[in-house]
Amino acid sequence: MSAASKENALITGAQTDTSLNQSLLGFVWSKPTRGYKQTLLLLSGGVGALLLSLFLLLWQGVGVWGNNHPVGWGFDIINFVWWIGIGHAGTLISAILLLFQQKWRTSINRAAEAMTLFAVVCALMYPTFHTGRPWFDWWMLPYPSTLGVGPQFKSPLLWDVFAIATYGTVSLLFWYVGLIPDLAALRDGSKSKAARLAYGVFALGWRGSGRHWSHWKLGYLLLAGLSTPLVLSVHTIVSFDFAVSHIPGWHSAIFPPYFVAGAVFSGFAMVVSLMIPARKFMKLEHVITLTHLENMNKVILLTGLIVSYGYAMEHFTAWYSGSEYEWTTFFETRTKGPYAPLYWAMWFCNLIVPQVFWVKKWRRSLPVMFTVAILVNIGMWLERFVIIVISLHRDFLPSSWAMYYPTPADLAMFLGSIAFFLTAFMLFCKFLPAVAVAEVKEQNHAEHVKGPA
Amino acid sequence: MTTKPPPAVTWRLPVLDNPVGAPRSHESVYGHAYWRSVEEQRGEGAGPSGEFLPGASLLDAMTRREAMTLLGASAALAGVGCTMKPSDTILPYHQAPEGLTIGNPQQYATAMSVGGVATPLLVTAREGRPVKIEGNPGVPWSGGASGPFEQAELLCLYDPLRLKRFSQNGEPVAKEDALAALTRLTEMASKKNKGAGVRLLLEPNGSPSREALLAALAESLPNAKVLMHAPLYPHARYAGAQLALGRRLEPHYRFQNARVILSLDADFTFPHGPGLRQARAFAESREPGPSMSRLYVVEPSLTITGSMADHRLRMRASDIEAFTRALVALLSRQLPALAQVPGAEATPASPFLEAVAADVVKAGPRAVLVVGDRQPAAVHAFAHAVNGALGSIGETVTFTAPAHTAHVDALQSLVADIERGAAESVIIFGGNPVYSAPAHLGLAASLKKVPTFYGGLYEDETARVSRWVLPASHFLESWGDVRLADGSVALTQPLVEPLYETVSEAQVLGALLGRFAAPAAWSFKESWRQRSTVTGDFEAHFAQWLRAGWVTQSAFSTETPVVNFAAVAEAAKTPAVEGMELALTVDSKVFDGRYAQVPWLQELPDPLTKVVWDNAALVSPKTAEQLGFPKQHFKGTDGYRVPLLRITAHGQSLEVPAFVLPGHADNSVSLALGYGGSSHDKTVAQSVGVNAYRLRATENSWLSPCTVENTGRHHTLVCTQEHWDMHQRDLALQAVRDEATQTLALDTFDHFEGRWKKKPLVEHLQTLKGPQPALYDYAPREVAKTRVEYRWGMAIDLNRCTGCSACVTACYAENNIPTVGKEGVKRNREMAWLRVDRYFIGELDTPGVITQPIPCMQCETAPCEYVCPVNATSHSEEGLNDMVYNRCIGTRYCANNCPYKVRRFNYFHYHQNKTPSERLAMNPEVTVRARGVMEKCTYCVQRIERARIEYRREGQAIPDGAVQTACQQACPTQAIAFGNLNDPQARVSRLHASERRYDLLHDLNTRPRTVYLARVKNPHPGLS
Repeated sequence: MSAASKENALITGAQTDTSLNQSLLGFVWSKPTRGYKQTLLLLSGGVGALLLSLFLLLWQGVGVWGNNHPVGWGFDIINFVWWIGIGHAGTLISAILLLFQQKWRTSINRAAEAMTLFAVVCALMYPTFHTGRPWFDWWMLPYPSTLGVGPQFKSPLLWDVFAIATYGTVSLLFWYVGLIPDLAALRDGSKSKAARLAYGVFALGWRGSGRHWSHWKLGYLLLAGLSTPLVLSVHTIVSFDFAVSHIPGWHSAIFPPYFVAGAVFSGFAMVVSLMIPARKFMKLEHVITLTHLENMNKVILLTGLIVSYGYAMEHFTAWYSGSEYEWTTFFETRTKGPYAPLYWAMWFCNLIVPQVFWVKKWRRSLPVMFTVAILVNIGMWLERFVIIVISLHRDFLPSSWAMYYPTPADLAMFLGSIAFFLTAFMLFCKFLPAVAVAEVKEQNHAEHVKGPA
Repeated sequence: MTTKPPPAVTWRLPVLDNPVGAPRSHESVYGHAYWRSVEEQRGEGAGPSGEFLPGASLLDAMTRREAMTLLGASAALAGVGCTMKPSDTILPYHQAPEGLTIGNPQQYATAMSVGGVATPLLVTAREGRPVKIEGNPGVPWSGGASGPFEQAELLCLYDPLRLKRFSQNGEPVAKEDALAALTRLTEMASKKNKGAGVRLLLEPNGSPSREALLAALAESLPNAKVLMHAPLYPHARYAGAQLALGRRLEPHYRFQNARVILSLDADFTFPHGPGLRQARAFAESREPGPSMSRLYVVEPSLTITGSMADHRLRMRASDIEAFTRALVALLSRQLPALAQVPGAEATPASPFLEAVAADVVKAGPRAVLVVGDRQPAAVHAFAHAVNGALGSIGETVTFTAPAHTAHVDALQSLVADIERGAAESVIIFGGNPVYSAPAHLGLAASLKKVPTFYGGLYEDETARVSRWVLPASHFLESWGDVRLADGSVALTQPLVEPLYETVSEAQVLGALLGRFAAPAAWSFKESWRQRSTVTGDFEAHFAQWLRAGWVTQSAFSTETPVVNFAAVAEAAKTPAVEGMELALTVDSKVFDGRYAQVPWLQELPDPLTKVVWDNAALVSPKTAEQLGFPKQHFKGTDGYRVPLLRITAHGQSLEVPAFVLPGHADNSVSLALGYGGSSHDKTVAQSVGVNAYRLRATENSWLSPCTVENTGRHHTLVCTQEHWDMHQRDLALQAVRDEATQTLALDTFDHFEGRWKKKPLVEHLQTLKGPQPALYDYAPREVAKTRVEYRWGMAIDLNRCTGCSACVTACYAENNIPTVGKEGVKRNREMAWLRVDRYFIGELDTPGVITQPIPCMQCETAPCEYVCPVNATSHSEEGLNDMVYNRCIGTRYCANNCPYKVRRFNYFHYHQNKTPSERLAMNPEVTVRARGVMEKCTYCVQRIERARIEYRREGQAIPDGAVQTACQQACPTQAIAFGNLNDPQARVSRLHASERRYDLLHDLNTRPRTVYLARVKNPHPGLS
């Protein structure tokens, strides 16, 4: 192999099936370290805060949050959109990259998919509990009501219900189907009986026969095909929550593509920021290589540019519309209003910061990419703040303009959902293979065993 | 109509009279006797076989039914919990009150008088409890309007903190003992100096029945003194009349006849008592057309009247006398009658002054000068002189005798009498003189020295220093009568039996006369019978008066006084206030302080500052700069962080939060009276505002010099509206009338060219109404227009709206709207369905002000409807944007998408902690919304439905005017019209067709059913 291709290798070191089995499944079998336990304990405090804030919310009402008139949506919907966006990277890596036969997806798809699932759960918390009377949320489902009242199909919130339910279901299936061969490997390699039983149940009797592999491959591909439109549809529909309304700053036709790009942008940033520590602690540097990370950084750079184009177009349409309300929202309220620092921070995080990835050295530098990924995550959160809060807090009638400030309950729920996400991710790493072992082995065979030496 | 609390009923649990293991009867529940042995059948005792001892099995010990009973009882008990509602007994009326159909509202006429200001009322009762107060349209004087105070009386009635027990020295006593003490007092006092030591301190109300009682009292206690006192009493008004017209007279302004109105510090549209009528007359004079009036206002702080002015001159209240003298000097050149009144020539004339003078002379008898009650008598006298010289007396101002009198120095003389031992016992009824007395008077200390009886609604400052405290009945619980400003007598009849054991003023006076045993209703009627001069059947007359709410033809006769110009010329000059002026103002929310505990009013935004739950020292931007705070810092949910000023006057100082109000006069501080009472420690009004009465020089002074310093500390003020300008948007529109061409034009901002443009009003408004190009075909809606019988719509005439906010309080009262407190408003969660937006236009020092009430627009293509995922808000055929509370899950999307931001969300369960008495104030026809649902203006759909039921029964269509929304009904100026747009003759249809009509945010194509009519200003051609 040439030096260049060595540098771009997706699996480093001479790996065999056995060595891969050991290195990739080893973390599951190893005893949890002290650091792991301490981190988990720390995070459980955050999960406690989440539960506490939910309890307070249900006990007292939405008033424990900072939402008000005119800002009916605050942290609840900001965090919802943020989490949903983060989930997108998993689906994109799993589905679209699979269809495009991008080999570099193999080592990261599993973790990214798990991340998707946890992000969807985090996201779902918000719309579920943000309603004034969450115990009636099921009224949004089209069940045959004896009252003859059904949900309102014109409402984007209802579309959300369908879009996210589909998304969650397909993501779960896709993730699980992909896991089956690895669950079988865990079943076969586990020493304790309980573990063998547990993994065995979920492995659905996988024996690795040719027929299994053939069916599995086809099924996985079909699910990938099913997931692909979801990558585009889910965030398109989430963007309709805003685009379909007529609030200046919301009412914009560019929202669907720009939301999708933003989702992928933030999702990849989240994958990068999770993978950097995960690959180190789980000793996966040989399968999650700098090349993987570099490829993801390229996607961040690209989607970052699309997102920035979206921002620019929003401002252009506002100017071109000649609408005084649009003009004020984009050129007064955002740029000079009371939340202007957040708006400019958004530009900095989402447009300026990813530009460092034009430089290959920085694209492959762990500290640089970690910083960028974190800043992009912050930037994308700010984007949702800008869209939701800044647009709502000053719309048509200046008499109703007012400020929005989050409360401790808002912060507890937000930080708590992050803690929940990390906890779930850590438990996932402990109990399930964070890397798709079967796929990596296949990749290994393709690269090393079969290829010309 | 009694609303006694229901008897406490405890839950009876089933008695377990079969203890486990006790011998069983063999009689089965089915009536058959089963037996297992012959002995058993014979009853020879060998019951159950001896295998098991009794009680060995629990189940055997009971029948299946008993087991089920116990099981059921346990389940029921588990469900009972600790918060079981007490069971109520519903009993039908043994003898139904006249005209009552259960479920239908009843209306009774009554009247109220607070601090000498009386309003005739029509009160709606539901099953014997008053739920809504309106003005009485049957009294010609009133026109049916009501202000915030009238509305708020309902909450005073049901206030859980009302005084409920009689006490002596803080110890509870029986009502009879308290009243007997009063009788004893008379007996003892009449023996000793014929009552020379007795002082009665009462509120003036002109009540004839009270006069009769007092006259009777004067027979037994001829030397007792009755002092009439109200802290906001307009003494200067009568002193001015005395000076100029030779006697105390009450002016009645007929603004509907006026072409030019000059207000000298007079807030004559203040929505209370006569202000309601004056506002309506003024609004009539403002119809754009050849006879449209022009209003000049000279005042220190912005008032709602000042905001309606065509020309407003900001001036310190104490400088207005000089202004008036200068005006008189100018006028005296042109009006020969004024020649004797030289005024003050030296004052340099201003363009404003010259324009006013010229306009007043031109309008002649159709001009009128109105003077505020804060101004000294001399200014009133000058105004009378000018009105007289113009010939306006009889034309634009008429006079009658005043409805009542009050003592200028009642409190001062009371204190003096107590201190020199002349007053030995004091009886106070109503008011709260200890709170409203100036601090340096020392009333509290003096009252403690003598036996004091105090009848009041609350355990307030006066109650605390009084030896005997008598809980007073609310006017909705008592019989009485009051005199309206024109002298007509309105009757106060109770709508409900006293909720607690209380006494009315008449009962207290009756007790002094030894007649407290007589029933109040009987005594009241007998009093009228004895004084009656009617011919024929008194009973019929009395019943008719009660039904109408007033004694017909009881108004004082109109007098035509002659101005004594020579006397006016001699009017003493009030010394000018040097330095900083403290101008006390009457608050539009708490009045003299008696409404401080009413949450509706505390949460009602001040019409101009929009401050809630506080009073503030209003200063001009320039004065603020001098005091070292160039602007107030808005701190988001922390409200306005404003500096605390230390205001010192007459040796008293107060720390007051400052508020910069554009258009305020420099070197002047306006401070509203009525706040900061310490009686409200346990109430909603706890630590709200500061008590400005403390700074009063005398018990009725208004203007005084003061020193102001910035303490450097801060206070948080909360406003409902933080943005004060319209951002060049076409929202609340105001056109300018050109006198010469009779055309209307307005300034509108061209956003493409980035500059203001003057456009003809009609032409511009064409772009703000009518159909818009749309992607969709609206034909189905157009068809619907002809199919349905009613298309409800509303029109709000901004030219009539003063922004007084009576509509807002009426909406709270009608629609069970919760208040959220200062903290809630700070978080922008106020629940008002109808708000009044206030915008400033133009310069900081000379701003124009425009107010715009915003209810739900009931858009035909409502943006809120299509975003609701559960169909909780949908359109009715008749055009209402209905809100289905039961269906709402509270996503708040509708509120986000509402461009008018009129939707209100229940962030908490705001009705949760209502006391039983507060619940009585609820309108049973309007759902009380729970936590987590959205709510908004419904066009008072309950009133529409009630009218529909009524007229459908008769087989008739609902005529125009049969449905009045609560806001419309209260509005003093009739700025709000509501009705059926399918009826071309309806007032609302005519207003919809007006050339001044426009749609708010028309370019969004929401097709609102609520439309606005642009305000018209009528400036003097020479002053622009």
